[in-house]
Amino acid sequence: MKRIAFFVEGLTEQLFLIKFIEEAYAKSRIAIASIKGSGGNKTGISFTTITAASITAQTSYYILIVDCGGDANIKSYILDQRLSLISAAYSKIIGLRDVYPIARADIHKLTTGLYFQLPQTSVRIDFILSTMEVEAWFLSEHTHFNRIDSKLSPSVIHANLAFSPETDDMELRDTPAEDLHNSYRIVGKAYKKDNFYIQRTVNAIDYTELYFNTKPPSLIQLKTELDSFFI
Amino acid sequence: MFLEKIQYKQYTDEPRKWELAEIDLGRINLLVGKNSSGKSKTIAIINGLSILLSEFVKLPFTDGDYHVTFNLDEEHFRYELEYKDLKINKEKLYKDNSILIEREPDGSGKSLAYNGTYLEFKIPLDELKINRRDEIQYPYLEAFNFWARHVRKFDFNSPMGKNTLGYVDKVNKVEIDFNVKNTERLIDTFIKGKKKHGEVFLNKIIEDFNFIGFNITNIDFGSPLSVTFQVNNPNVEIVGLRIQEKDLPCMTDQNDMSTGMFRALSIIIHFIFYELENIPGCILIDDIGEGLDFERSTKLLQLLIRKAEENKLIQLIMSTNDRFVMNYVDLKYWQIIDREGNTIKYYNIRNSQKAFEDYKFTGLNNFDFFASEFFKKGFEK
Repeated sequence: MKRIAFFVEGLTEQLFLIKFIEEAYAKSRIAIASIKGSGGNKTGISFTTITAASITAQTSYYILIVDCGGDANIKSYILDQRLSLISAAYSKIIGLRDVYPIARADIHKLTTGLYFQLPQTSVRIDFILSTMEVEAWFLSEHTHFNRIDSKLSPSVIHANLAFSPETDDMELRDTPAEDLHNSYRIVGKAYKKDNFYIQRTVNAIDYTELYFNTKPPSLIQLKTELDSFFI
Repeated sequence: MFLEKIQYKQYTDEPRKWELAEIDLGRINLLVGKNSSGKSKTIAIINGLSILLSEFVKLPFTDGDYHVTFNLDEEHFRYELEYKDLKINKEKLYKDNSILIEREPDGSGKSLAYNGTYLEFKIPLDELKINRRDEIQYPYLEAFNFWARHVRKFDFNSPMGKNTLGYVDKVNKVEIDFNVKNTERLIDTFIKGKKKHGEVFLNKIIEDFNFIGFNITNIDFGSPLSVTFQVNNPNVEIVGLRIQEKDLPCMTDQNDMSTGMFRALSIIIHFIFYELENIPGCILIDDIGEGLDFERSTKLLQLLIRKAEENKLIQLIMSTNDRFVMNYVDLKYWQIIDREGNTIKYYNIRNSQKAFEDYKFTGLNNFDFFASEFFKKGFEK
């Protein structure tokens, strides 16, 4: 069984990644385990299982998705868990986080910093940085607005907020989560960093559309990583 | 008045020498270091200085060398004290570059009086001139004494007063001899706070204690429910703290509380008392959060930092080696302690600005800033 581990900064990335993998890849052959890491005692981080992986005879791919509870924990948790993941035969480790709160101008510094003193023996570790936030990916899948509310569309958003999720580059937006919230507010709805709101957006996304018409480079990087894992 | 810098040496020319390199302190400080790196020693030295300056005491150690800077309304007072074999060799106090006190090894010297003239003195070899107060002649000395009397220290790895009960004289209504430095006598602080501030005091304690994760609905003092005492004076009642936990049918005595719970309660009661009484000063907490679980220790830390951020009268100096506690404190408050042999060095955002600012680009949590020693070299390999 092939194994990959994702260390993500929060619930938004975790819920999105689960849905994306389930919808875009061969669900029957995949087992996904989602866990949440948090502070423990002096001897180690404690992990809580959110969803246990359901392994069947058909399962060929095992995906671990760890909600690290903050961007600053991702690399630390990876380094903390790296050796046990290697011994458990994982073939890849990926850290997924927003660029925010780091400034756009410092993306290069952040990328360099993330790979600074990062051991790459046995198992490759890579980072995917959603610019500026993962909500830029949600904005870029502009067909989802209509499924949030039938009165909502890229043209309505453009008329009200002077940007178009359909034609503009959503990775150039500085506060995509706020843009998403403001878009929903046009029709009296909201987007918040809360399970209900995140799940509603994640469920509204068309993953076929997202997979075949991906625009944000960081999302393309994620797709490429997953494609090569599922080969 | 705030303690701005302190440097300390002991037994300088001997193998047992100790040196604390200069540490420049902010208003909020978290001393971070491995075991035996010097966290508790740093706190003990600051506390020791306050004891030296707070009252007329004989020198507590045989040897010591302090270089200290205080900040009083942006004026800087430098105090230098060197003593060996219980004799003071040097004692100097400056305001910026002006000498206020200068003392020779034989106990003689001069000190600046209110009218701008220097008065000569000669005092015993083991007595500090800075403690010879006179509000008219030397008004500037009052601030040092006030600072020293208001430094209080909490050892979060100790019972913190859990085994200390108080008493109430029901007939004579004798006022408790209250000393803000005596942090072990939580019961006295509580009785005094309740008497002066009533429900406001109690409600604030309940609110803060709930915030950190202990669900209580009431707090009071009274005769211990689970132990009895023989008291000769029938007017006197021995009392302890008790709380009503939300999910328990009866009150819990202080001796039945868990150690961690009592420590947290003690800190919260003291802080609320300081807040309501407007008591300024330096608060030292060694091993903050020790004995508490992760959620409660981080919540407690957040609470104390928030209170210190809001109350500009307080200088907070805490220590920890708990990696998870560290992760919840902004690096701007960190003082990383690194011991090289007998010398303790400090790294903070002021003396290691680039490493502290660059760290956010590593994507690591605060604990790794310390564990990886990034604070020493930054991105340099």
